[in-house]
Amino acid sequence: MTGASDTVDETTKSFVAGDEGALRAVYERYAAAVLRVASSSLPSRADAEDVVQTTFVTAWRSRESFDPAKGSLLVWLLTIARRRAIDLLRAHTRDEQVVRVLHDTGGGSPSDEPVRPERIVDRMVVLEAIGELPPQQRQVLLLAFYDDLTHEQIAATTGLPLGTVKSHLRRGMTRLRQRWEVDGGAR
Amino acid sequence: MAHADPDLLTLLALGEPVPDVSVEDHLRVCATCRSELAALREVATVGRETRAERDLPMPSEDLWTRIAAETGQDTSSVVPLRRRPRRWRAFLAVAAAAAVIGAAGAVAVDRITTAPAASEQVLAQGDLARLASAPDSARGSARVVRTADRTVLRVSVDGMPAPDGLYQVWLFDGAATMIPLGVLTNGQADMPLPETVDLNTYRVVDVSAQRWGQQEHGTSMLQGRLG
Repeated sequence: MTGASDTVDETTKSFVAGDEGALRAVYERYAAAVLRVASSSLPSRADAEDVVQTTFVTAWRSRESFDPAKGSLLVWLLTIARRRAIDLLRAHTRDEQVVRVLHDTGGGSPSDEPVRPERIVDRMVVLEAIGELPPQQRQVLLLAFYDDLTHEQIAATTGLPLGTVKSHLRRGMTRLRQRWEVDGGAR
Repeated sequence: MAHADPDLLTLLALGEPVPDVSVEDHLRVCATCRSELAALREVATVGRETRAERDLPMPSEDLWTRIAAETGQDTSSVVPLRRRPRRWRAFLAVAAAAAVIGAAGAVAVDRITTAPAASEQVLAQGDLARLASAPDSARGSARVVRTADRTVLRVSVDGMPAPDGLYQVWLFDGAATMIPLGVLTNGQADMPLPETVDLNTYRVVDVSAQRWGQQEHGTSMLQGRLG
């Protein structure tokens, strides 16, 4: 296994090196995902945004401790965010109402079923991995995931040969699994 | 003992029926392939769940300012945040675009066209979903309408900014070929459909932003599938 090191791109490297503009680039890439994870356990948007702020500030100050061999930058950030959210929840524990709201809604967006925050992290990891697939492989896989098309329907929709569709599905799934297992091991 | 074909395991993990009974026989006796299948099923489940996460909001605009202040980042010399490409958003938008092309992927938007006249018959219709380059407010719909003397594609869009050049409507086969149908003006247009175009093949309606004089397909703004 190559570990997560093959996912270390220029942005991550310049982040660890402390280059000018690197924190901003990382923020643009991951702030939405960090906010999603924070919101999954904190019903207050203001609390969730506070967690996002603390997460990026903490990450920047301790960037030298980030080890790409142990997992991706995304998961490192999300792990920091989870810890901060839990800290904040503990601070709120005496407020029974907050706790009750959490149990009632599970946090997250109102339309969602309650989802464990760890599962949200999994989704973010897989979503990023989907985004890094070659475009055609990604399109084929998303037609299977989001539209529930069979490989034959995907071939008919895209005009790709059946064998190509099957190999895109296999390679795409293999890649997602690698990324997920590497990053799952980091938690 | 040969293990199960990885292509077949992938299809099984995705929930497709695999008619090859020898795979089932093999799975009964091979723990390696069973655990392989279980792992792939987990991946497929999480992959499907990402559908709910495609349009994640960014934090409010001033959050970056607070982070920059706390970490001593230079906020004066950099390009404003919103003008820089957002990789996360960008690939989510790609995911949305791919989904729209599929059969069940049409994103529901409110109907914005008026009901067709009594003499008209709607043969097919679909909502047009916003792609990455379009503003949040953008929406549209398309109908294939048979009038007394011809068949037209009636496209109607709303919430779109004034174009730098013009908006053009295309039919797309979902793979490689796009047919230009005409220019959209004032948010609505009836475009005659050539009888030779097979709508079973060209089921995707695409609205693109074109620069003046641009011949090839420009930037997709809205897309949807006729059904």
